[in-house]
Amino acid sequence: MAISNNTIETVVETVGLTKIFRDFWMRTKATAVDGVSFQIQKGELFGLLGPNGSGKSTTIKLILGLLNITKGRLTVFGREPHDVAVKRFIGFLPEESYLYPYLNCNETLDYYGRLYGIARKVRKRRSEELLDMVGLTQVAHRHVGEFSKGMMRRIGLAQALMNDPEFLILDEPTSGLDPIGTRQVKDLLVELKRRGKTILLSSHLLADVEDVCDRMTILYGGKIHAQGTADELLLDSEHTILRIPRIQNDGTIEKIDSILQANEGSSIESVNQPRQNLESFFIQIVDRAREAKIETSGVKGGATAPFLKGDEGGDVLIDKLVDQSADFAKALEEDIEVETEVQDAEVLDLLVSAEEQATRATEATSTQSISTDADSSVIDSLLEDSDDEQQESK
Amino acid sequence: MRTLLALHRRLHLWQQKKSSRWILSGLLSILVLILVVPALLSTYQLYEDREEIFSLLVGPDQRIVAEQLQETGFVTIDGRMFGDERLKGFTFLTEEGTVINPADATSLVLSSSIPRWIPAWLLRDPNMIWIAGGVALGWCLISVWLSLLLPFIYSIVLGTSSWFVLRALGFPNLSMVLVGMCILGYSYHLLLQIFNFLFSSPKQAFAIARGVLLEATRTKMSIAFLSILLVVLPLIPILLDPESPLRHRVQTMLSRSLGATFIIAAFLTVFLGCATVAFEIRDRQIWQVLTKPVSKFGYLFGKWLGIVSLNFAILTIAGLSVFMYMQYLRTTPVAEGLQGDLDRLAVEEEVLTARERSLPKFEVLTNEQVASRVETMIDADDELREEDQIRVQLRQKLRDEVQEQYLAQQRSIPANRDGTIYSHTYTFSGLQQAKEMGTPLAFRYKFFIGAADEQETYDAGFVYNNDPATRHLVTYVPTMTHVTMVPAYLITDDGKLSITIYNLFDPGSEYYYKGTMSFDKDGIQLLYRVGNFESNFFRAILVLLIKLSFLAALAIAVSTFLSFPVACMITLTVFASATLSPYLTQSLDYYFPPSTEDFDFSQIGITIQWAFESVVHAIATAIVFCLDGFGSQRPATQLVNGMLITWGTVLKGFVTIGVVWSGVALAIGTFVLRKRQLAIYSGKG
Repeated sequence: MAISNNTIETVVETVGLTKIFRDFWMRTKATAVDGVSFQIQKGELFGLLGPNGSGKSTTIKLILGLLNITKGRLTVFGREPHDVAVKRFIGFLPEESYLYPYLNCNETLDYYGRLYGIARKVRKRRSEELLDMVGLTQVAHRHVGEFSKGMMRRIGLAQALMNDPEFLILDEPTSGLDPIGTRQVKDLLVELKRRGKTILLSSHLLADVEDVCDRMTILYGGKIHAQGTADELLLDSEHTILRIPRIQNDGTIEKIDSILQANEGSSIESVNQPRQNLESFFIQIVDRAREAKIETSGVKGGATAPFLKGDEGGDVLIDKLVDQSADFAKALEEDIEVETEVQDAEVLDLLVSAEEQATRATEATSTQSISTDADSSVIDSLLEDSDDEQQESK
Repeated sequence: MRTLLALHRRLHLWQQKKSSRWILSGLLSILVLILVVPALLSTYQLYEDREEIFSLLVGPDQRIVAEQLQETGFVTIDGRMFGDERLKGFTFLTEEGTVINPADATSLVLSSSIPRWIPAWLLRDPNMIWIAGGVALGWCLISVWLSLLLPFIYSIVLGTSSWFVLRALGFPNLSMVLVGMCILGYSYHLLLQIFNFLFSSPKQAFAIARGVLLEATRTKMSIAFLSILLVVLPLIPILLDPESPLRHRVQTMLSRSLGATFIIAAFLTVFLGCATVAFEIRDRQIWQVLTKPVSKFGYLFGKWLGIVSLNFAILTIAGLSVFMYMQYLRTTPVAEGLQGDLDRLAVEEEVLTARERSLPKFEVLTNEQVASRVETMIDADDELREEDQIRVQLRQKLRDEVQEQYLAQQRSIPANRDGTIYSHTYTFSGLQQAKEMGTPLAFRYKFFIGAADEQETYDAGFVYNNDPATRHLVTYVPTMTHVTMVPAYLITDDGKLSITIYNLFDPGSEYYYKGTMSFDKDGIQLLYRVGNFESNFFRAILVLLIKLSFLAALAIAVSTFLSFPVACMITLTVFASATLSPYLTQSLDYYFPPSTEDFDFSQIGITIQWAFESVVHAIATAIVFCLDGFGSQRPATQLVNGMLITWGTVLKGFVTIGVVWSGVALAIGTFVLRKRQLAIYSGKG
């Protein structure tokens, strides 16, 4: 379900948000969050960064209504965080997966699906797709209590996505995951963002946040120390990187250096041979092993669940439409403004042909590869900048 | 083993096909019909034959029929022969030429026509066959459509093999226990599956209730309690003494089985209710539940609904097994002769029935009369007479004493003095229903007689409605309860019956000090049938369920702010206090902290004692005030005594305990959960 673009552009808004933990005698034990103000806009992938104990998880718990605010203001979809109505649009993965050990994977997803009021057929389909996505299809009938930490994270992530949430809150989503799982999570985030979902990502693994977030906030001691887009915060305006085929002749470097001295008044600071990062290398190795069909008892994650790409067809789609209309009516009753045009657009989006979806998926993959490949994106943007400059000079 | 597993998998897949389900439904329906239809036809035929023979034996031709029976042992009706060789020469006729006892004679004639393949308890009432057939058919069809064919087959295989093997090994009782366990275990599983099906709607409360049922079947604690129940219930019947009177066996069975079921279900409710919330808060699963669109009340209501459903399943299987066993037990043989007949009569008329109780109306003194008597008492007492002002408390005490003495006087009948026989007339009213029913009333009495030896017997005389023709003599043992039957026609049109009791004991001059007959407030009472055991039993089970539902709400509510052990302790304390509140009420009649006017506050010891006793009294009074409604509902005791549990009682229990009390408990839990910061808890144990 879509929430009005016009009325609820800001998904989360905090003003002077403060959380003080007190002891039994009401003496201050710790100020976990101290006057924090930020906004998360619709469709944004927002990163919450900070070391352990900086107030990231407390902020998330305040947003979810699991803690009460001491001071300040906090709204989620324009409402109080305790409001049950907004929970329908939220998916949450806590820092550890707190699941029922006596339920198996299927039952776990079915249970949380029921809590979202999702119809049986849709629940079943989504459970299957999510289990496939997180690589737990083989162990779908095993009790969650028997799982390793990584498997628990995977099933935890799946439950957070059961309702195809408008607003996804992930607290340390990659902790306990192997590099493949981490990569899948990142791919998933990009996919969800493409569909206009809002995501709040809390992590102290900086590379995770840097790779995918639009904007980020760095917390320390419960206070915001920096806030902005990745470029605003990370762009090194003092240096330029050129990515070119390997220079065979040392004289070429000297020539480039002399041109630089003549034109820019500066010289080359260092010349390095670039190398592949370990994550990419590792993924290549695993991909090759999979192609060779080498057996493993570990989890085998699949592609992003089709319903998370907006790909739900046939009877499930009809069920979903029925659900959506019911949700829509309910939301209207509960005074949440829902823009029908947006919903219609989404319905149309859902009804697009398989071919179109395949095309879009290809496009998404290419977009994804660009966005995750930092070096090439820097060169591309440099090229774009130089083109712009050339046009301006003309 | 591999073949068995493969077979299991194949059967599992096969049972899930729609075509298989239809085939199985058809086969099982035919099987049930094959058993039920002949049983029904035979039973109805037997009833028809019984009526025909009875009408012949009381009709104008009774002499001819009886003579035919005496000569040949057989009688022919519409070309069909009834009777037995052994009846030849049996005396059926009185000297006046009427049949001695037409009902018994009918039974004798029909005895050889009774189909032996139908259990006697089913033959007793054709409706029982309808019920049993309906339950069996429903049981089979639900098993098929909920894909429970495999557990169904396994239960049957396990039950029948245990039956044959253990019987062959010489353990018939143990074989019965194991078969009982198989039936109960499967029925329990079936009921839970039905609830799972009923809760399949994607409503949050239903989802949570379903989760609780899964928790109950998969966590060790719940499984332990359920296993105890499934073992204890089939064991109770084999622990009954077969030599004891039937009435005693029936009452023991009812009392023990319902008592054990309630206690086990209550403990399970308390532990599961506390665990399901307290552990969820401790282990933080609640974070992932309450961040979904689930209201706090919806969450607690779902938990409550799950536990109530579990209790419903437990009480249903326990109730059904006890009920079926009672039907079997009531038809088991009794001792030969009059003693046996009286035993069976007592079972039917005093236990497996639903009776109302009527107490006589006693006169009470008016305020003026009481005041006048109190003044007389004060004047007669030297110390009191000298007091300037009698304290209000003391005056009230004297008033109570006067009233009590007057009532006790009415419950006392002096012994024979100088040839004068004393008596007292007691009037029972509101007996219209008993008159309409026409069944005899049981007049139950328990007399005391001075310092009499309990081994001695005494005589008393009863006269109904002052009609000398109804007088009869009874012999009683003091302190023991006796019963005498009173015909319903003696009740007057306005529903009244007066009984005059004569004390016929003559102590003589030697024992002049003893001989006054007396009884307690409920020492004499009239009991009369107003309903049947079956519906009374159903209502008793409902009352137990209502009580358990409150316990579940209480356990859930206290777990929202207390850890598991503390929550269990508090809930069990409340449960024990509520159960014992009727005894506590009695104790409070005799327990008062000393009046502050009676001692010196400067003495610290006495002051502490006074404070302690005052606090104890206040707590006990509060418990009685709050929880007496729970303790006063004792359906098992009423059932054992054959007393009616009215729909009014059930409704009152439902509204007060089931709705108001449970509602208040859940509302408190919701309030706490709303105020509580769930993520503030950081400990893991």
